[in-house]
Amino acid sequence: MPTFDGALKANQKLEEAETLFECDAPEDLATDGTVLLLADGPRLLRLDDGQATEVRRFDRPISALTVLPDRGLAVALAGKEVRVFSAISAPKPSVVFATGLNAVNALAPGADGASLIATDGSATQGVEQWAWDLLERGRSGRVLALDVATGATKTLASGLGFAFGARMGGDEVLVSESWRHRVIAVGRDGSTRIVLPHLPVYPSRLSPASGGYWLTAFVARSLLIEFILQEPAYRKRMMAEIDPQYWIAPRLRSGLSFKEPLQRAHIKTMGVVKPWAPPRSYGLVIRLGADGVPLYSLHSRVDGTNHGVAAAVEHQGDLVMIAKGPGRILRLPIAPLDQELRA
Amino acid sequence: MDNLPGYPDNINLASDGNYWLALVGMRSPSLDLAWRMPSFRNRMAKRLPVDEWLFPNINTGCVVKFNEKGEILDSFWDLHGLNHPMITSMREHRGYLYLGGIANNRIGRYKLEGADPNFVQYETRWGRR
Repeated sequence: MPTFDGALKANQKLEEAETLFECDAPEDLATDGTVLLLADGPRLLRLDDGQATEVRRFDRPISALTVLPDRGLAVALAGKEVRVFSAISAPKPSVVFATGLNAVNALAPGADGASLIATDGSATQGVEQWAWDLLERGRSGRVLALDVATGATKTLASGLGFAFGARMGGDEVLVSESWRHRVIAVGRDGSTRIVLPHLPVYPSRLSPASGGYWLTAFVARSLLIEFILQEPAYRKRMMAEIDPQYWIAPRLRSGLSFKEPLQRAHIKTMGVVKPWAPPRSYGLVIRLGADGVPLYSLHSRVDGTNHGVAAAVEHQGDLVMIAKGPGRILRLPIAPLDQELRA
Repeated sequence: MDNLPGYPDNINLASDGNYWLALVGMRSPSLDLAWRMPSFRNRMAKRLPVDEWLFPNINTGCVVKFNEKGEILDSFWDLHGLNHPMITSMREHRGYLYLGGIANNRIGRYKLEGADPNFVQYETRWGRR
């Protein structure tokens, strides 16, 4: 398993980030350059300098969110349905996609204004059940193109080890294939190309940066989890007999109960938790160049709390991020990061 | 005392005739399952570095008081191990319970309500020298 080295060299930038807002169930962020939108459970909020205003409310939790180039809005609800609105506050959706969707966890504008890219993480597990999909070695993730004009759905890629996050890059769609720890590019003809392999983390949503991308990693790998993935008998009994919150599996937050698994390196020694101990939860955002190569990264390490970063968007010179672990919206000004870390 | 929630360590006298017991770490369901699967543990020990092995949850501090019948009378916790994780030993002395752990850089002291303020363990056990 690779280590956090090179552009992934650890720092505590995420741990030091300003907390802009706190809420119970932050899930995704979107911006059109002026308005910053946050999905918090079933609520769609507009954030203005840390003040939240409810824009609209749905009957189910929002599982993905994006703003379209024509200022339209697309939301996925509980992974099962995608609704497209002609404007952020439009009363009724202009088109609804509700068939064949199971775990839509990310949305992005397509190559032309008439399409929308969606990643559907798993055909068998719901959008909140990603840990089940990992432990069952799920390979049913899909990348879909949703035609906003006709309501048609086209599968661009399938058989992925959990698809979680997509973004157009030229003619291709960059996709995070979480369980295979890599970012791939899916071409118009459905061909795939590996862009960024061998990550020490499970990558998630992508968003555009000026000349490149921001790649989040909602959870991190560890040797113990890799080992468990090769132990079907233990895994089967663990999943059948143990409360999921105490499984040996990556988590968005950790250290809440002594019933959680603990490894030797986690032992607090001389009053200190070692930041380099194997992560049960971790915070990481990677800045990618236009070619998908990492330039630098922002961390909240094992001794930190800003873990489970599932969304990051550029907004008016800041990087705004969701740390699902503590339920925080974080902000870091980008220019100083570029100056300090982009060697 | 059977089926304790943690791993017992040192036992010591309490001033009221009962006993103190340090639980060095707590049981976790994932490690309990591993205890029942010896070949799994064998492979874990061979394939993973020692630092990656499953361990009892030692980042928790717990001392319990029990009587001669083996009944738990009281418990004191540092649930998240903020100050006193991994308590391996404790000793009551002049109305306080002193707490120590072999990987800690500190000794704790806890004021015991209603405990004998003159209780000194050596003299209780061996008589005045």
